[in-house]
Amino acid sequence: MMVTTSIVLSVSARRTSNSELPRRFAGLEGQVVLTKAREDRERELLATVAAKYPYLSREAYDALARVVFKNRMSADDAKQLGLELGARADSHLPAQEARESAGILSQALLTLPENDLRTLAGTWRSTERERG
Amino acid sequence: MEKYRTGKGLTAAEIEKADGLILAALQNLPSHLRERHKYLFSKGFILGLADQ
Repeated sequence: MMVTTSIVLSVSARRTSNSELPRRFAGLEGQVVLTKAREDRERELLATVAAKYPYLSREAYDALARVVFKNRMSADDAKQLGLELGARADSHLPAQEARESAGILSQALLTLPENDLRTLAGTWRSTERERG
Repeated sequence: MEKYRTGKGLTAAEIEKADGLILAALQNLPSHLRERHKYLFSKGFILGLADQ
């Protein structure tokens, strides 16, 4: 819960129509039942987060969507986000602390400008290629 | 290009650049969150060493 709250508080919501949602999120919004007001708010937040992280994998976007829509972060979500957000030591932490660490790092990365996020994403993708 | 010996396949310059950006991002957080992350990262690193 704390992890999600930190992400939600750190993004600046803006009005976004349904048609502006990134194509990669098509269908995700149908996975949970939300009130109209909450759905609108969470669509805005999800679109904002997606705009901040344009280069993460589909799996990481799915994890972000679950965080935003369901107000929780599972251990698997934390692992995926932690891996892609560069929390390399997190894999050795107990699940609760790994989630907390990934949440803090997520909040920090949301403050970076676009060019810096692009640089980081390129580094992570290089890492993934080398891992095969 | 010489590869940094971390098993991650990155050069030392790439790792330094990425780490610098992450540290810069953490500097934008309130100090209590920054210190908490520092503690957790250090703990994870030490636990990782213990696994080897």
